[in-house]
Amino acid sequence: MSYCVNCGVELDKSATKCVLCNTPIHNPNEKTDATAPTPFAVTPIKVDAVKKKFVAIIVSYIMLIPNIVCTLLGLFFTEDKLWFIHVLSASALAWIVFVFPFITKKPRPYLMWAFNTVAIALYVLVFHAMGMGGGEKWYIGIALPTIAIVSACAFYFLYWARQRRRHWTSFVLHAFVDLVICLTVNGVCLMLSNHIVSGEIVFICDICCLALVFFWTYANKSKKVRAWLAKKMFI
Amino acid sequence: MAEKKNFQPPEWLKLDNAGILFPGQNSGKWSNIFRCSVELKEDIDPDMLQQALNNVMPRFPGLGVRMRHGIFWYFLEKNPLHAPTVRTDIQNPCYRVKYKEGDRFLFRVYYHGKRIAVDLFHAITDGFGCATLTFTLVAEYLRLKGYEISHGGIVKDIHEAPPQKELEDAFPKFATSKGNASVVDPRTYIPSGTRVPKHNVNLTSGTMSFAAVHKLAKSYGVTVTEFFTALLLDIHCQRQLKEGKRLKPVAVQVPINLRNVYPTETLRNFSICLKVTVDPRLGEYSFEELLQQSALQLRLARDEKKINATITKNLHFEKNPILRVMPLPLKDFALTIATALTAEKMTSAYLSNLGPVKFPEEMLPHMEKIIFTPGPGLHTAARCGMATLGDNMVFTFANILQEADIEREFFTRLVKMGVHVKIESNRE
Repeated sequence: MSYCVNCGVELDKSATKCVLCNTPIHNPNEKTDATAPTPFAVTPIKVDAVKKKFVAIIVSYIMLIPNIVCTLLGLFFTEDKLWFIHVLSASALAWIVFVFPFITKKPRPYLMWAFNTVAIALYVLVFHAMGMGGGEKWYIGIALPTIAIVSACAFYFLYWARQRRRHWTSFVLHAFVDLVICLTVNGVCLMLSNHIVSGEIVFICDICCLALVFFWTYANKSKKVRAWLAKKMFI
Repeated sequence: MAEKKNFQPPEWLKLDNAGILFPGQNSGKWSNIFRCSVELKEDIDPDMLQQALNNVMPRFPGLGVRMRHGIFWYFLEKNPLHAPTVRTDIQNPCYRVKYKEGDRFLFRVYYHGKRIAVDLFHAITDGFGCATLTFTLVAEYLRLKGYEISHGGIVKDIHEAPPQKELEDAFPKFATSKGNASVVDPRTYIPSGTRVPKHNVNLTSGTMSFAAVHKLAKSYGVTVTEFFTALLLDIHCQRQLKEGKRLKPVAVQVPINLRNVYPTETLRNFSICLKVTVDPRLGEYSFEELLQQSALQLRLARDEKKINATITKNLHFEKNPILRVMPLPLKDFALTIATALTAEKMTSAYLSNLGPVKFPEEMLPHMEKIIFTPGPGLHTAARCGMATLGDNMVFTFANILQEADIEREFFTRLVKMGVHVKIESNRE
């Protein structure tokens, strides 16, 4: 019988190292018997993943019912023939954001976010095409650049977050930096499109976020503040 | 009397009060499956084991079931198949059960070398029920091998019709308390580390002499369970101090068999968990102080009135009219969220002692040891099970972390106290 020189426990005949501390066994009097039966089985079983696709298909069918009903009502029973387009577009957006990820075999966050961005842009385009929102150039002048910059920030945030484990204060700081960038672009677009009041409100929010960026930059660097935050914001 | 003799097991059963939670929590990371194994002195013959299982199954109608979805609750339905197929053992036991997979039984029987193992889903029974099935199976297997084995203790007479009292949900029968047992448990310290992939668990068992451990525990004036609870508390407190993070309370959960408290012969779930908690924020505890805390808290919590208040409170969930009419998918969704927010966050470690097992004496010369293994936890690294056969005591860790620090600390502490420990593991 062999014992671990570190832990002092007796080890199994088939063991080549201590399972507690990984110290190799060198016992000239009793060599490891590789043919000895292992105390536990060595072949793992591969467990099938839960079939999320099936659930997604069921949900898709359920979502289809109100869409069919609303389309029929809109086309044949109501005077306003186009209201059902809002139901269809909202359902399509919800399906792409919430149901589509379950159909893919592997999680593909970047691809999903690209789909989401296109879906949101098209969803807003429906509003624009139906003459809503006032004015004609708001889609190209404000909506599209805002969606593009929010999406780009989200892409970068996703990439940054997946690199390695970070402290939660870094996440808050990064989120506020992204928010500042998005608000700045949105404010500039509003100003250029002559929406002065809305632009000013966005810039005020932007300045508040900028102040918070400074605070979280300091919090992120100072161990003392991080400890204080951990104590105060304990959930 | 005649009515009792002619009792026919029902086609379907409601889940018992403890079991209703498990189907909603069942996932790849938290299977709620545990294992009871018996190591014999000779290699297992799989054909004979299958035959023994086929013979034993009619005696356990509460276990030969499959899980079905109702509109409002899950329920158990008699499985049209006679018995599950025995399989060669696997390296990752206690993996999740899927209700519509394979033969749909909620337990699995494995063999490996000299060992027979039963993996069982907690929704149908607890450790005592699992041990009853395992020992009755082992007894029948030994009979088929040609040995004379009688029945008695937890080894059931397989020729006897299953009595109705074994299928009863004992919780509502004994929950009569008018007191309020609501206690808000604090969030506790949970050891951090690298989690093993889903459906996997690292098992490490230490075989030691029961007499040596009993003598050691007695020298401190505590029982073996209290001694091991204190040791787990100490290891977690020391580990937390080393990590240097904000201190949190440390708690060890200890389930107890309520059949020792209330007169029932049910083979369904009938146990509750007691908790031993110490708060390192109050100061550093010595091992002797932890032994004192463990002994005092466990002995105080065994008060029948407190236990009754707890099981009465647990029944409120099942009886709540709003919850009862809530459709099952909504209940599952709510339970998933509740599990993500609170499950296992009030426990640092778990220690389940199978306790003294009574079985016919003729079986003892053929058995080497019993290994009782709790399933993998959701967050808890130290989920421990212990079982004793003669002088062989096996203490098993089911750890979801790749690091073996807690097991190492635990067993080396025992070695330093003069207990000889032999280690076996499924770690590579």
